[in-house]
Amino acid sequence: MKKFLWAVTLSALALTIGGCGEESSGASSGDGGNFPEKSIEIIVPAAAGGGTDATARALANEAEDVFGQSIGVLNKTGGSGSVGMSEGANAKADGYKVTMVFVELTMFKHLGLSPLTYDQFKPIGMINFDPAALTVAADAPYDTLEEFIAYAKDHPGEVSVGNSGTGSIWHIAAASLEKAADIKLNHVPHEGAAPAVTALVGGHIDAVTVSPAEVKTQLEAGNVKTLAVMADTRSDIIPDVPTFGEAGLEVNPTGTWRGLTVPKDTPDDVVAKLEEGFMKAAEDEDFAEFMKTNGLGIELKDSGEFEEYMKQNEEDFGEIIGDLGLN
Amino acid sequence: MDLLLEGLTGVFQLNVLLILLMGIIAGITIGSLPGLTATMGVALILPVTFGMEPVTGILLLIGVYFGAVYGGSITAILINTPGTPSSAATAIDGYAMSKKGLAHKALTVSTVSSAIGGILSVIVLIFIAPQLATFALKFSAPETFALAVFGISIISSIAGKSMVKGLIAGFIGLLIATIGIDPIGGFPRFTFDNVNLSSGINLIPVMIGLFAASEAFRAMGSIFSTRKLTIVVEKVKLKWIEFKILIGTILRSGAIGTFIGMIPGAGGDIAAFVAYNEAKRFSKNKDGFGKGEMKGVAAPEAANNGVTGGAMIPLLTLGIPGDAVTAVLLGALMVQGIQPGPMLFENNGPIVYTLFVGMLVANLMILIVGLFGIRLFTKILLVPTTVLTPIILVLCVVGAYSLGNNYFDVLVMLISGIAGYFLMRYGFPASPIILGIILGPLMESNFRRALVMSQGSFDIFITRPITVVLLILAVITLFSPLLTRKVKKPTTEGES
Amino acid sequence: MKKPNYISGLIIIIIAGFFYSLTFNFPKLENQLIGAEFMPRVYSVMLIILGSILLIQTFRNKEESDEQENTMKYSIGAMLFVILYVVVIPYIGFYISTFLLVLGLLLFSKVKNKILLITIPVGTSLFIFVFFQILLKVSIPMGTLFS
Repeated sequence: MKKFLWAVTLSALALTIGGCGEESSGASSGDGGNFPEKSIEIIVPAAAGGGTDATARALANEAEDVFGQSIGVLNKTGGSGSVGMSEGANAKADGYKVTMVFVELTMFKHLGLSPLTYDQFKPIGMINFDPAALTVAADAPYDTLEEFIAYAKDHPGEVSVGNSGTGSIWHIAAASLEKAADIKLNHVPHEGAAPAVTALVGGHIDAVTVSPAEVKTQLEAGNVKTLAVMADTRSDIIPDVPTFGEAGLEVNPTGTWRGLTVPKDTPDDVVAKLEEGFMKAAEDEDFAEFMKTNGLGIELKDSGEFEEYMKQNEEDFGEIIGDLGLN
Repeated sequence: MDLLLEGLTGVFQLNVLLILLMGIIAGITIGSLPGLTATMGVALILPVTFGMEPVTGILLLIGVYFGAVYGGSITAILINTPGTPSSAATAIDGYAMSKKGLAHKALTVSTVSSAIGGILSVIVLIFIAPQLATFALKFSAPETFALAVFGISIISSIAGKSMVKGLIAGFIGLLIATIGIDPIGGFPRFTFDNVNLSSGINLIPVMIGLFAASEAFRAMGSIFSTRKLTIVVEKVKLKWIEFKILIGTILRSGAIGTFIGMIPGAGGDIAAFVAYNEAKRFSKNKDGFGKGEMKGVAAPEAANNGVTGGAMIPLLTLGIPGDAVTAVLLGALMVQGIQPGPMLFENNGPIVYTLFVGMLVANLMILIVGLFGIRLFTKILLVPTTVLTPIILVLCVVGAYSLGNNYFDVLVMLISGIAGYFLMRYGFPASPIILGIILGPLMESNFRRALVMSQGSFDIFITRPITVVLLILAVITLFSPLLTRKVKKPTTEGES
Repeated sequence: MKKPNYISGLIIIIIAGFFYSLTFNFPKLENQLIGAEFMPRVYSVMLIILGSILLIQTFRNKEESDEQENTMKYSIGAMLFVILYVVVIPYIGFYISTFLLVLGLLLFSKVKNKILLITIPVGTSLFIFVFFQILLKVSIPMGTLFS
C-alpha cells in the first residue's frame, strides 16, 4: 500500500515537472577535436534559487543548443561557495566539469576562509557584473555623492551603511568608498543584501552599497534614491544614475561578478571550445532578456581578460581587507 | 469587491485549478520527505513556470509552497520525522498521539488547523496588508533580537520531564549555532580549519538526524524488545465538540503565524514553536502537552501555515522578501513581469486579486487533499517496523545529501542521529536543540547588529517599545514553567 | 538513571569547557564591546552550570529505577550498519550500497520472507532513482570504482 501512496504522489509530481530526461553518460575520453562528446556539468557553489543559480541555469539552457549536448547544473553549497569551487578545481581536467565562480573566489585567501585562489582554475570567461550602488533613503538630506561625502565628513562614524555581511563584497565596496573619499562610516553587516535594503527602507540605517537589482524595486517605489554606481559605465538597470567617476570620485569598479572556469590542467583546445560556445550562448537574446528581467547585468570578458581581472581583484581586495583588519 | 469577483473567475478555470492541485500534491510530497524543504521545492519547479501564463505559473509555485509547509506535518506525526523545520514542533504532540493509536485524529487536526491558519492569513493579507507592512518595517535589529530571546525562552516549556536536561539541550543547540563564521565580525569560530564548518552547521541535517535517524535506531532496537509495542491505527475521528475546543487555539495560532511571517527573517519554524508555547500557556491542561495533546498539534500547524500569508505581506506590498521562499517567489513574479511593491495593486490589480483567490483555494485544497489522504498516509504505520526502518535510514542519507549535494551534510546527519539516540535514551529532548540552532544565530547577530547601530549603547534595548514588550514576555515565559513546577513540587515527588 | 546522568553531566561539562577554552583564541577587535567570543562564552558557562546542577541533582535524588528495557546493543548494531554504509557510498556508489544496507538491516532484524528480502532493497533503490535522480535531479554518487 505504501508503494501505492508513492505511485500516486509520484505520478502527480511527474506530471507537474514533466519531461525531465535522464542524463546520458557516453564515452569518457575528451579530445579537443570532437568536444563535447557527452553532457557537461556546471557546478554552482550556491543554493538553488539565488542569482548565481539563475545565471547558471539560464546560460546552461542556451548553451545546450550551442554545444548540442545536455548541460546539467549541480548546486553544491557550503563554506560560502568554497566547497563547490574546491570540488570544481579538483575535478577531472577534461572540460566536462565547469565551475561557476564568483567574486568571493578572489577574497577567500585574504579573509582566511579557504586557501582556494583563482589561479587554481583556467578561466573560460566572465558572464555577469553588477556594481555596488550607493543608495540612501528618499528623504535623506543629500542628493548627490558629493553632498553625501560632505555630510559624512561633518558626521564622522555616524552614517551607518548596511552591507550583506562582514567581508562580503558590498562591505568591501563601502570600505573602498570610505578610503577614496577619506570619510569614516559605520558598517552594519546583515545576513544578505535583501535584509540590508529592508533596514534602509525601514529607516534603521542611512545607506546601503548593494547591486542595482537589489534596490530596483524600492527605487521604483520612491522609497530610496541611488546616488552613484561603482563602475566604469552606467548600469543598464538604472541608466539615470551616474558612475562614481562622473560624480567626481575615482574608485576602482567594485561589485559582484560571475564567470565560468575549468580545472587548471584542462587542455587549451578544450578551453577554447568552451569559451567559444559559452560566449555565444551568453550573447543570445533570450539570455539577455532573462538577465534583464532578473536585474542581472551582462558583462562578457574572454578567458584572458577574465584571468587578468581576477588577478587585479585579488590584489585590490587584499589591500582593502588588510585595511579593515579582517585578514 | 469587483476585483475579488474578477479573481474568482480567474481561478475557477479547469486548467488553473488542476495546476494548483498538482502544485499542492507535489508540495505535500516534497514537504513530507526529510531534507526536501519548501524553498527547494519552489526553486526546483520555478523553471517550469517560465513558459506559463503569469497567474498559472505563480499559483503552481504557491501550491508547492503551501503544500510543502503542510506536508511536513504528516511524517512528523506518523513517524516522528518532521519533513521541514516548520513541523519540528508538531512532532512533539503529534507523534505522541500516533503512539496512542490516534494517528488518524492527529492528522485530521493538523489538516484542519493548517487550512484554517492558512485561510486566516490570506484574509489578513487581502484586507490589511499595507497597514501591517508598515508595522513590519519597524522591526529592526533590537526588535528581532527581542523576538529571538522570546523564542528561546520557550525552551523552558518544551523541556519535557526534566527542566535541567531540557535547558542543557537548548544550550547545546545554541552552542552548535555559534560554529561557523561569526555573523558580525566575520571571524571563523570553532571551525578547526574545515571549510565545511565555516558556513556553520546546517539545521536540516541536524534535524533529520535528531528526529528521524535517532528514532530509526531506537526502532531497530525495539524490534528485539520482548515487550512488543505495536502501533494501532484507530479510526477515531475528530468530533465536532472537540473541534469547538480547538478553534480558539487554531485562530490564535494562525494570527501568531501571520504576524511572525511578515517579520523579515523570522519564519514558520519560529512561529510554530511560539504558537505551541502560547497554546500551552492558555491551556488548563498544561501537563497534557508533550503527551499527545490535540492543541499541541493544532497550534504549530495553524501557525506555520499562517506564516504563508504573512510572508506575502511585505513581499507584495513592499517588494521585500522576508525569507528564502519568498525571495524565490519574488524572482518568479519579476520574470512574469509583475513588480511587487506599493504600485503592484494599481498596476496589476486583477492579477493580484486572482492570486489572492488562488491562495484561498490552495488552502481549501489542502483541506480536501489532506482529509482524503489521511487514510493513505496512515497506511505507513501498517508497514512493519522491520521494513520501514531501513527505508527511513536510506531516506535520511539521501535527504541530507540532496540539500546541497554535499557529503558533509550526510556526516552531520549521521553524527546527530547517533548523538540523538543517546540523548533521547537518557532523557534529553530533541526539540530544544533544534530551537537553539534556529534562534541562536537570529539572536546573536541582531543583538550585536543593534549594538553596531547604536555605536555600543545598550539604551537601544530599553528605549524601543516593541523591544521592551517582547523582552518582558520572554522573562515571563522563561520563568512561569519554573514557578509552576516549584509550586507543584510537593505533589509530584522526586521529579524536577 | 544515576550512572548515565553522571556520565552525561560530565561529558557536557568537559565539552563546554573545551569550547570555552577555544574562545580565548578569538581575535578581540578594538572598540567592540561584545565580540565574537561573547555568546559562545555565555552558552558554555551556562552548560557548565547546568551540567553541575544535573550532577548535584542526581547525587541528591533517590535511586530511580531504569524502566527502559535494554535493546541498546541492537540499536548500536544498526548504527554500525549505517556508518559502514556512509563510508562505502563514495566508493561503490549509492545504489549498490543502498541495496546492501537495506538487505543487511532486514536480515539483521531476522526477516525471513524471501519476497520482502528482494523487493524492499530493490524497491528502495528504484524509488531513490526515480524520485531523487530523475525528478529532482539530485546528483546521486555513483562511486569512484565505476567512473
